[in-house]
Amino acid sequence: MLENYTLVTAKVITINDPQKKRRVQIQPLPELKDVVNNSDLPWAIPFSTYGSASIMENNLPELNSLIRVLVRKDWKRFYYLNNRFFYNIFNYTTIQNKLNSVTELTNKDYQNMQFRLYKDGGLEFHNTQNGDHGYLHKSGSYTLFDNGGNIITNANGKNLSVDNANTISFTSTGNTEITSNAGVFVTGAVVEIEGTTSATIDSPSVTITGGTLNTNGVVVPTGSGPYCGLPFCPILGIPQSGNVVTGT
Amino acid sequence: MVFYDRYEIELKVDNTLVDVPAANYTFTIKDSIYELYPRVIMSFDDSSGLYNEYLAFVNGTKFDIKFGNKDDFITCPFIINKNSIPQQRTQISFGGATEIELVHEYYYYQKKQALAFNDEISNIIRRKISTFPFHNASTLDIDTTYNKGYWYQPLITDAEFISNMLLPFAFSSNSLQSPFYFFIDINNDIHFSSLKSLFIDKKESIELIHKQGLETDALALNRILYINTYQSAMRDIKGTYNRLVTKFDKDGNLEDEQDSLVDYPNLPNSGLVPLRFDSSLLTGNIELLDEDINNTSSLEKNDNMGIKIFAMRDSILLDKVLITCNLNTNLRAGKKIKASIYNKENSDKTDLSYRYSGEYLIETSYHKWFGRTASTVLVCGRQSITIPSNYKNAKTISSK
Repeated sequence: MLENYTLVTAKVITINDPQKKRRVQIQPLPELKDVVNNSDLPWAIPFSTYGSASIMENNLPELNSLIRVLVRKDWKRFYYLNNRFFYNIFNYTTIQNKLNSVTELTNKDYQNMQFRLYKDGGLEFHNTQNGDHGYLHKSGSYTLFDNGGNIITNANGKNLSVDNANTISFTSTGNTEITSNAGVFVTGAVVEIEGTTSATIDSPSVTITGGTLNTNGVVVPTGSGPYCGLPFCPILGIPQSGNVVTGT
Repeated sequence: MVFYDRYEIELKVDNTLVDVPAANYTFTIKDSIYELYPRVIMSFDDSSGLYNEYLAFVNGTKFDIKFGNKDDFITCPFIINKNSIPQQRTQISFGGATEIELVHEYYYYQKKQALAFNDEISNIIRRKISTFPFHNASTLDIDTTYNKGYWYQPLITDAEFISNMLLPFAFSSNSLQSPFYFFIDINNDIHFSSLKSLFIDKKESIELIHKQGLETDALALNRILYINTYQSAMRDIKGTYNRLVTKFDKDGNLEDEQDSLVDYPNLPNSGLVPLRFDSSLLTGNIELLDEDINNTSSLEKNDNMGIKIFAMRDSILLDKVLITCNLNTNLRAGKKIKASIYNKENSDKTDLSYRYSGEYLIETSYHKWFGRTASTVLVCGRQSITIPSNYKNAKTISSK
């Protein structure tokens, strides 16, 4: 019964529960402020949890933070709730400044933003008014589902890897663009480039190497270009055009 | 100082003898097994107001009392807890009868502390009280408990810590499921004892006799002058007649069992409890510590036993007598008496009341000084009685 309990403030001393049961070791303040050995301090269990034998979560309070704890009046049971609120600790400007790096975010108004800032600096966010949703890594890279449904990934100079996939498919109704300041390398057992209308390679230098170049079709003599339109030597009668180039 | 060649009375204020006739003051000194501190209510004639003028009775003043019969008296240190002159006696002075409330000096030295202990309850108590000069400091009446564990003193005094955090859990496998009491008596002896050691096992008892026309010394110490009998009101103890005891086990399952007032102490066939109740009717419930923490120590089970027993404590001694006798400060809280109460109407012509005679535990003692005379009033209690089987209602009351 609740009348058997009292609510206290406690400092989180240890979150590394040797039993791995989400317990935290606490120092109620000021009630146990003079306890010298941390090992004598009580362990608190979560007051309630969304979970069962098959559904679990682990959401421990931060070490050294101040939390609220329900204590039995005889001080034989301790149940922690969540962190105490202190006016000066919560600062939305911190969040707003971080979100500025997500340039695609158009609305960062306080009343619209639900968010969670992790100790490592990562920030989960959601705009309840327009549906922007994303995660901003401490390094500055982020992924954003914007309010129009577009998925934006900004690696912020870090690598973007898709590893160990079965099939990777890119399908778009518009253009699919790959731009790099360094190189674009495509490696595979079979590499096919198919343009249903046309295909263009535009580069100051184009090299085809590694084995054999197979080209189908007939040269149409236009009077200019590197290809000879004569299939046979007019003098010797031997074939002089071909559709296979070896030694590339 | 001896007064009327009979009484030993001495008051010292700040270790200085109060040299006034004993007729100038009256007081009642009280102790109880249910209260830690013995207390005194005193009325001191200060018609001139001089005692108060010179700050003799300010709160916190040390007040030592020696009181009793000239050959058998107690000494106890007190401090003034409250003082007032409620009624001015003359118009020319603010003086009058000073009403003073005193509490045992141990109260004065209490300080709040924020500590944790990992030890047996009895060991913690022994360490806590060993620093105060109780009369029995060298022997310390502390019964051993079996409650080793973590105990927290969250910015409360030692007295509060022991009374509220330790006492409710105190358990000993040797105590026959009897509760513990923590109290100081009027002789400045401190006790942390189970009912078993205070009453069940105690061999010596003080005999008191109540008989009409008793041809003995009217001033005899063992003479009961008046006796009133009563029982604890049903509304106060009914919740313990038949209890539901519950807790959640480590898998979240509710465990429950039932127990009864007559199960405590665990003394089968030890008499009849003068009480009628229907054991099929649930009258109360108590929640124990759940197994929601991973504490497989068997001593946690002892804590729950302590909770069960302590919740019965105020109901156990339900059969009471109020005894008035000549001043006898040897009769004090925690002592055992054997009362011989006579009833001329007994059918077997023995004159002894079987219903009310027998052994009782002194729960509370009052020793009163009236200015010229003194008396002692005792509240005594017990749980079970022994009556002849031919008493018609013997079959209707509960048995142990």
